[in-house]
This record gives sequence, structure tokens and C-alpha cells, in this order.
Amino acid sequence: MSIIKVKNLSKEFHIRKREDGLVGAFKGMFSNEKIIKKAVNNISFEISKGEIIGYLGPNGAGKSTTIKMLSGILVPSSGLVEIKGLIPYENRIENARNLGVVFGQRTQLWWDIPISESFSLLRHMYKIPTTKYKKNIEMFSEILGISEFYNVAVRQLSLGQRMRADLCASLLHNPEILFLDEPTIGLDVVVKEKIRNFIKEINKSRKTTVILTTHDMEDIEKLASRVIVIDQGSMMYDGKLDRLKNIYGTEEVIEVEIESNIKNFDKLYKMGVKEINHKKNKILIKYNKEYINSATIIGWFMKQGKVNDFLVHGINIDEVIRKMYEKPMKNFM
Amino acid sequence: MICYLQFAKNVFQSKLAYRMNVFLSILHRIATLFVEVSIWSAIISQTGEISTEMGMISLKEMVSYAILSTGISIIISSNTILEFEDKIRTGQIAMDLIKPMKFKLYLFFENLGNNLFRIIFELIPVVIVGILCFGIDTPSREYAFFFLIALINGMIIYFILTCILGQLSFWLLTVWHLDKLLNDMLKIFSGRFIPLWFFPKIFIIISAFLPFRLIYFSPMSIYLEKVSKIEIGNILIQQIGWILILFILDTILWKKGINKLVVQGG
Ligand SMILES: Nc1ncnc2c1ncn2[C@@H]1O[C@H](COP(=O)(O)OP(=O)(O)O)[C@@H](O)[C@H]1O
Ligand SMILES: [Mg+2]
Repeated sequence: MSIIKVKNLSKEFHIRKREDGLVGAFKGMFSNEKIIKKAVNNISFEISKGEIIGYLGPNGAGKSTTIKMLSGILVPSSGLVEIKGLIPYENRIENARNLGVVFGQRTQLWWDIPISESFSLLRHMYKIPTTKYKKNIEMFSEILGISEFYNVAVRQLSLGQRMRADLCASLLHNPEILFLDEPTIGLDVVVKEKIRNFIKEINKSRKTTVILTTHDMEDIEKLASRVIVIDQGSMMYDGKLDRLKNIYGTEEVIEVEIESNIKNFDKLYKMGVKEINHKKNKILIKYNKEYINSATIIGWFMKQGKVNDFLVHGINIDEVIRKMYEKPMKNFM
Repeated sequence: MICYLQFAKNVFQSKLAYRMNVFLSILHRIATLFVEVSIWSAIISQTGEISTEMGMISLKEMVSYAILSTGISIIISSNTILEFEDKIRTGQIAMDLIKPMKFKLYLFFENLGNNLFRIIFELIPVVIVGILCFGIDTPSREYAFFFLIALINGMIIYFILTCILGQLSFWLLTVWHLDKLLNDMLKIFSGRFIPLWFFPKIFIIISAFLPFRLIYFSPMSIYLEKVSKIEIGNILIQQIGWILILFILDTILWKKGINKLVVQGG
């Protein structure tokens, strides 16, 4: 049974110069001059209870627009959205009770009052029973460490603290469905890791269905088993992450810093490396994982001299999408 | 409902943090009141009373009028219009819409918290100063009761008016000038500073077709017992009529606006 159904969903933005003044407003209401931007273009998918979906795409792909339509904030231009049998924009309030939503770039907390007061407002709004509320706060303190800044106003929090607080706020009422739009954007590694663990824990213990928007592949690799990829509003892929990686994500780059000066790379090319570039004392090696792995490459370098440092750059979502264009996959749905 | 009352409480509390502002605001109100009263004294003092469309008006009544109208302006002043503009322009309205609450009701209760704060920390001090310095007429219990009803209706009319104008941000880039426009209309047609008694007939006829006088002038003329019981009934019916009309307009605008809402950014 799918808990979220999206069918032929589209959203067009009619971009029109809004004019100032009453007369301008009047003209604006009736004029037809506008540019049409298809932010979401004929997307369909279904999601079952308990899934964590990675919703991927480069900047401007239409991810946030989709999430806004699912949350009932934006009205679709055409197509259908159904969440637990409800149409979000028609039943905004009822739908909101089933949802937790976090937009990484905004806060849903009240700016001037302490987190604790915001939470208490939410408790009344969602009619959360006291025991459940207390239990949740306790759990959130444990995993996300919110007690450190529990009595601080939102405007005084750092981005990482604010994001953690927002995440808690969205989960206080034990929603069945959680939408996270770039919840890790701009955060340091430690906080990112905390947030990922938290999402994982919630999904496991409550069977919460999660849609996670990001362009951080690591978020996806740690959390999602299924990914949906969109670009320029259109669906590019819907399926297992592994499959996506096997087909498109086989190319990696390794960055090696060595002391000695190597002149001859013929041997490496023979081993199956695709490309070698020098960047000061660093060497960037592009290779296909199907033919050679990072350990072999490092091994070769260590034989040539002292390796000071190395870094493997995994698959980048922008790269994956670029490749989808080069080599479109048939029947991927 | 508890949830909405919480909003009122929260606004009240966060306003407590800015007490210095309150102090300045009270000073400003009292200064304005003194100016108003001085002007009326200068105009009326020779004769002791003044003849109008509604009969003779005494200085004492005019002073009461000035105190009352200052009081009403304290209660109704709000920044709903600018709040709307801000929420829609920044897209922060999205964060209100993902919550299971009625947006207008939320704004209304926030306003209520604001009003309550102003009643306690501004209205009461200003009125006390006004009464101690100048004295005020008091109506009979019955008229006081109808005054309160008319006052609340007037506040609701004002609130819906600000919602309507604020909502035009769905279509307009800025609405702060509409905020100014509303204030100007109120200054002229509501009787905020000059009672409609003193205005020419044609002016009174125009204002009869507008809702503004129902916010200031009508409740105050009940307070000063310048109207008969039948006229009170008439005022209340007009107020309710306007509330209905404005409410319907507001609902239509909201539906249309939400449908065309584009949340910028994020
Ligand atoms: N309010 C809006 N008005 C006009 N165009 C918009 C609006 N919001 C988004 N867009 C456009 O729609 C496309 C998708 O945006 P968005 O869903 O925010 O992308 P993503 O979240 O994937 O980065 C972008 O090209 C963006 O410019
Ligand atoms: Mg986005």
C-alpha cells in the first residue's frame, strides 16, 4: 500500500513582472504577458510506508517545488498528489497533521522566543499528549543534544543548532511522513552525521516514511535505498541506489599528494586509469571502478615514493546526471 | 483554541522584552492627547459649547472624545499589513502553511496578544493621565455596554481591512503604501481626530458609504450618548453588515491568493 501517490504532477511558474501600486495590481490580475517556467514536469511515483527516498537533482531541478506541492503549500498546475488518501492543497490542515517538514533554508520556529516555548506551542497545536511529548524531548536531547540550547531564542542559534531544533520540531507529533528539503546544507561533518543518525533512528523505530532532498551523495548513501532523480523538472531515474551507481557512478577521482617527482605514468594508464592531471604537488587520477580500484592505485604510488596524503572523490550527483544525458538508460522506471 | 490563545500569550511575553519602547510610546500618546485637548479648548473655550449637525457639543464632551479616540487608536494599531507583506515576500508564509492551523485565526490571536499588551501598558496609563488631567464623561451602563459591543465590532472591521490590504501582496510587490492609505482614510473618514459632526453634509454622506466611521466615530457617539437606541441598533447592524461583506471579500482574496502563491527561494 502506498502512502504517497504522485501522478503526472506538473508545476508551472508564470513569471510576470509584478507592478507597483493599485493600478499595477489591477493590470497584473488581468494581463496575460508572462514567461512560463516548468519547474516540475509530469512526474509520477509511489512511496510505501517506511521507505526513505533520496530525492536527487542539481540546483533548480524542481526538488523543493515538488516538496512544496506534497506539503500543500503550492497548488499543482496539473496532475495528482495524494497523501494517505488526502489531496494536500485541498486538505492542507488535515494533511499537515500527518506531516513533518523541514526546509533547510528556513526555520519553522518562532524567531524571538526560546526553542522550549516554540516546542510548547507545537505541543498545543498538534495536541500532543504530555507523556509522548516528554518522551520525545528526552529522546531528541539524547540523540541531537538540543538541551544545550533549549532555552535560547532561535535568532541566537548557529545554523547547525537551528537545523537540529527544526528537525525536532518537525517530529514532536510523531508524524507518519517526513519531508526534509536539504537538511544538511551548510552544516559541518559532525552535525551532518548526527542528523543522519537521527533520521535513521526515527525511520527504524517509528516506521516514518522519509523523503530527503539533497545534493550531498553521502546523505543518500547513508540513508536511502531508493532514489528518485529529477533534472529540469523531469524524472530521470527511480530505483535502487546501487543500480544507479553501477550504471553511472563507476568513475571516481583519487587525489594523491606525493613527495617524489614521477615522470612516467604509462604503467598506470596500462592498468586502466582514464586520465591523469597535475595540480601543483597533487595528482588527480580519474579511473573506472569496474577496471581498477583505489587501493591498487595507491599501492602503485607507494612503490614510487612517499605518499603524503590521498583523498578519494566519490560519485557526485551532478556527474551522474550529466552521464544520464550522455547515455540515457532505457526502461529505467 | 488553547493553541491560538498560546499565540496571544507568546506575543504578549515577547513584547514584555521591549519595555523601553512602551515607555516612549506612552509619552508620544500623551503628548498627542495634550495637543488635541489644547486645540479643542482654544476652539470651544469662548462659548463653552459649539453647535453642530448633532446639536450642541461641550468642551467636556470634546475632551472625552479626544481621550476615547486616542484609546481606540492604541487598541487597534497593528502591523498586520506589513506582516503579510513580509511573510509573502520572503516566502516565510510557507512555514505557517505547513502547520495545522488557520492562518488568519493565527494572525488574529497574535493581534489579540498585541492588543492586550497595549491595553495594559499603554491604554490604561494614557487614559488615567487623561482622566486625571482633563476628566472624562461616563455613559450610563446600558450605553457603556453597547459602546463595548460597537468597539469590538470596529476592531474586527479594522482587522479584516488590514488582512484584505495585506493580502494584496499576493499580487503586489509592496503594500506599505496601502498601509499609509488606510491610515489616511481613517484620519479623514473615521472621525479619529475631528468628529464627523463638524464636517459638511456631503462629507457625512460619503462617509456613510464607507466602513471607517464604524471604527471610531460610531462607537464614540454611543459612548457620548449622542445617538438614540434606534440609531444604536442601526450602527450595530451596519457593523455586522460590513463585517460580513469584508469577510467574504477577504475569503475570496485568500483563496485566489493561495492558489497563485509562489513561494520564493528554498
Ligand atoms: N517562486 C518561483 N517563481 C518562479 N520560478 C520559480 C519559483 N520557485 C522556483 N522556481 C524555478 O523552478 C525551478 C525549480 O526550483 P526548485 O524546486 O527550487 O529547485 P531545487 O529545489 O531542485 O533546487 C527553478 O528553475 C526555479 O528557478
Ligand atoms: Mg531546493
